[in-house]
Amino acid sequence: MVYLHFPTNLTEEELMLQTKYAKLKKKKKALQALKAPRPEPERTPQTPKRPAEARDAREVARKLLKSGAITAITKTPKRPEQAGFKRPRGLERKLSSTERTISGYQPFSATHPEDMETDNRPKVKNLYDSFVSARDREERGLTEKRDGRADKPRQGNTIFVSGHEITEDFLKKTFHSYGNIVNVTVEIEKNHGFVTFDKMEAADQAITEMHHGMVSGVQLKVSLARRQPVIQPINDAASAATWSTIAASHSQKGSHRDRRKLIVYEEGFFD
Amino acid sequence: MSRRRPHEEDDGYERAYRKRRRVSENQEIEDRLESLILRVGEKSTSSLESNLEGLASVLEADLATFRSKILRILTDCAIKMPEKCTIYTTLVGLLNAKNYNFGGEFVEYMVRNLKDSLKACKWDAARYSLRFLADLVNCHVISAGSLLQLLDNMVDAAKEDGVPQVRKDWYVFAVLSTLPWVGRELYEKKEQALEHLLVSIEVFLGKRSKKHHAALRVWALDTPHPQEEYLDCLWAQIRKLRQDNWAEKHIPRPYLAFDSILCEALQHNLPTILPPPHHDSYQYPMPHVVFRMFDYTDCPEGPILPGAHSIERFLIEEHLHQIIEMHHLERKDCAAHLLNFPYKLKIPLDYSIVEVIFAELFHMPSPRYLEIVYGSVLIELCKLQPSTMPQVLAQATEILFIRIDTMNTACFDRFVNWFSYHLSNFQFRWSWEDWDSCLQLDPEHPRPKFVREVLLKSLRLSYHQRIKDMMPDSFESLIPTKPEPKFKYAAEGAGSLPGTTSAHKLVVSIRAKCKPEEVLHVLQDLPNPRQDEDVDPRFNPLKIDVFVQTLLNLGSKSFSHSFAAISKFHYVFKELAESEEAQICILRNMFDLWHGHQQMMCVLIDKMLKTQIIECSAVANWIFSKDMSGEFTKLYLWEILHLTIKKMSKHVNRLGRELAEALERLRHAESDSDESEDGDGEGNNNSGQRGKSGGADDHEKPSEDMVDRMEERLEAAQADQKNLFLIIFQRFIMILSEHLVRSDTDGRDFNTHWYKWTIGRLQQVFLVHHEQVQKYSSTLETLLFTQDLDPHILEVFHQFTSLRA
Repeated sequence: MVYLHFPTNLTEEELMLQTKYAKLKKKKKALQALKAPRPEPERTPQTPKRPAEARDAREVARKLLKSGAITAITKTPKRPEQAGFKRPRGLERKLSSTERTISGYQPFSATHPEDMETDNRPKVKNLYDSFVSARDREERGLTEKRDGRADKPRQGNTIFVSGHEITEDFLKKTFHSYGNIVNVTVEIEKNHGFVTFDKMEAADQAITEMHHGMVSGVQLKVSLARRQPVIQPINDAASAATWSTIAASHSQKGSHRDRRKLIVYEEGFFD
Repeated sequence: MSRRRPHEEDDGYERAYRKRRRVSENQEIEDRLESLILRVGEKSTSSLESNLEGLASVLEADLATFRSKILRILTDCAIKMPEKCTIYTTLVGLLNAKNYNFGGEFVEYMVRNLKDSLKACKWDAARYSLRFLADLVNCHVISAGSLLQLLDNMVDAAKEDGVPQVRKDWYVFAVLSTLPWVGRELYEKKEQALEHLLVSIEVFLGKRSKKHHAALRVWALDTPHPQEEYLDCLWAQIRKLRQDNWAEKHIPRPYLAFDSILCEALQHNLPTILPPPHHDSYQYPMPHVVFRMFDYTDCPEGPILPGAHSIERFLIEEHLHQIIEMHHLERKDCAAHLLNFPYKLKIPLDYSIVEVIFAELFHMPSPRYLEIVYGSVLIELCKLQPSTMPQVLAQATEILFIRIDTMNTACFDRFVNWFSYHLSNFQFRWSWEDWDSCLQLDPEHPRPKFVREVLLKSLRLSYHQRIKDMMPDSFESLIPTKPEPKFKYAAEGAGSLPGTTSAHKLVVSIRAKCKPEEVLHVLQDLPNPRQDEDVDPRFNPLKIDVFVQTLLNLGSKSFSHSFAAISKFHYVFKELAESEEAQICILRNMFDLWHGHQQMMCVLIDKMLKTQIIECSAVANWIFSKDMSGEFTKLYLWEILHLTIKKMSKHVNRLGRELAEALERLRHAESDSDESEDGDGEGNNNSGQRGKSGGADDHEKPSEDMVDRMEERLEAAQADQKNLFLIIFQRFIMILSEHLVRSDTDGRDFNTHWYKWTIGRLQQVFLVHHEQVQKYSSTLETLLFTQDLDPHILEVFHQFTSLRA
């Protein structure tokens, strides 16, 4: 056995090399900074695009000040950004390369982050923002619609079946003995499909009996589908579960295959 | 406006820039204010109270500059977002506490709004203004006494004589629907006066006629849920509220948090507001029935559905209806907003939504929006809430089916249409087996009829084999036949028919792309089976028979083929069928060929009406003819009748509109020429302007002659329309009277399924087309619905007249 020993202390030569490397690195950085294109071309187009809200918000804040709603502002020490924030637009455009531009994007932070915490005045400055964010969330869809699903144990009435070149008819034939099939979807090119039963027991039974099973020469893998719409019957309407399953499956059209022949129209004689 | 900045002086560029921008900056602030006001009360990271307080401060500071703008926005919000009423009253209350003058101005503004809405017959806007004013009493902006005076004046309007009942109804409804907001305050401050107001209302309601009620009911039976008249129901809810000492738990009242600020404020007195006197041109809202299909026992465990007579039920329903009104053009938004109902955790929301949507769908005389609006919103709701909504809908369907026996015929149709549409979006899946008890019933019974009509409608949304496959075998008797043409000239034994040879010749000619004239030539030799001397020789039923059946059969491949056939040989139709009798003959032959395909018949008749091959009256007479008695209770036949009446109504309306426009242009042109005559000095100026603005009008200026001709055309169309209604109602009276008399002489019960369907259809014609029928109401009364008529038939007419009484 050979132990490679690495001393923890560096040799003199190593130290020298290290400092040299560091120096070079610094120089390279400086050179790059010098060569690098000025950031203006990137930023200038942004300036006119600055959201109108920022100016408006400023106005609102100003109104608040006037109305006496915010007295705290005079107590807060002036921060450098504030001056920059109030710089006229024209000037701002000229000086756009400086770091101040950032302040333009933070409508409310420039003036009043402090008094928000210091006194319990109404958060009027946030009025608009809080509406916006809340509304956005709301409009994106119903946030609460699928809660309570995560903490349930994995069970359900939809199974995932994979096997070489399985078809819808094949799945129906293979699984109909386990229970009433509500829905079948097949993705032939991916060699898998989903079968939804009206009862969970049917799904469970199908999994235990058919997993790794061989049906007409096709090796099957059967497991619980990952996405399981939880449907708890809330009434005894007969078709309730079926409709719920269909609604949850996101494919209302379902797996129906139109077997009609294509109608061919002969040459029109009414022209 | 001192928005000067300290650096302004040191930058000339900025000053110039700002000068240019000043106007639009003002605009920006206004927009900003508007958006703040509009959005207050929406979901927010801070509490509503703090938002309101902040907003009040912002607005107070801006009052000097943007006074009128703020007034306008606030009143708009009050009327357009009635669900946020209490939020805005609180805001106004806070502003009033800070600035008494502004409070006064606002009240003045709102009062003007109320008066204007009343004059303009904007009933909902008026009601929301009234409610807002009432809620301002809670915010110490308006004195309770002066509001009571206003409410008293409104109830007085219900005591007037010689005005329509619907007017009185509305004023009472407006007052009653305001009380949930302000009842408690009035009770505490003016108990005596409030009691007096309620007594007046009770007296009014006691004397009120409710003839219309029966026509508007969805179900004829009151079990399990009574179908209450809307004022009666609201009255019961208000009485219950009074019993509970006017405490309601539904309305959020943000002003309670500001009690200490608001109670300091000075109150304004409302000026005296008198309802504008009735004018004949005023249209008042029609009465309706409060639709109920669920009670708490239908819902699963969880929050409890408020009782039918709790005021919460009224408030929830009104709010949901408002959401539908707001978003009915966007089904996805509509569904999302319905499910986002603010009090969703306190009620079984899915049930409330489904009930409200069916209430709109089954609303009599007609739903507020297209039926498809409701169907599509229900589908979206199912997608958003797949775990519960489809189940509630399935339950609702079961309930509706169980109660279908006494369902109004118009609602029966809508139920059929909705259910088949819904099924088509749910893979046509339904547990039909559960309904197989209906197979034992008389086929005219509403239940088997419903299944049959649903399948027929589904057939239009799918295809025959699929319908056949989806149904259990036991339902075979209800499955529609395959929609195919039955061409008798190609059937077995056709050789013995007199027209067969000509029909075959015609097929060859048409296939060879013959001209319409050549068709007449082929038909030329067919003998006229009518031998009487005094008959119109131009009407040859055999010619029509051969032509119509052959042509439509050749075009049978699709709707488009049929349409092409009709338009190519339009000339032949017109030649063969000038008289109404001949037109009915066309319809009979179309039926002969296509009786297995209802949708085809509907579109063909629609086409032939549009191309004026047949007249509306011919369709009406054909429907009531003996030949069609086997089809009489089928939905499609009435679909055809309604489309025919609608076609006529559209025609009359269009002519009326065109005439009105022409008259308007004429008047305009005249006043224009007057002007230029008057102002000689400004003549140049004037004509120059006219050239720019009214150039199009000028050379379109209708002549007196043209207007006269338009008037004649309108009158002729109106005569046709009146005639159509007379035919329809006369035929109804004839068959119904005959049935009643025969039942009487035979000693049988007259109330058969056939009778129920027929009287239901009569009711439907009155209600669906009530706006048109109304115009001829007095003619109908003197000519047809006379006192000697059987009371069962007369009753339907009286129900109809009481709708706007």
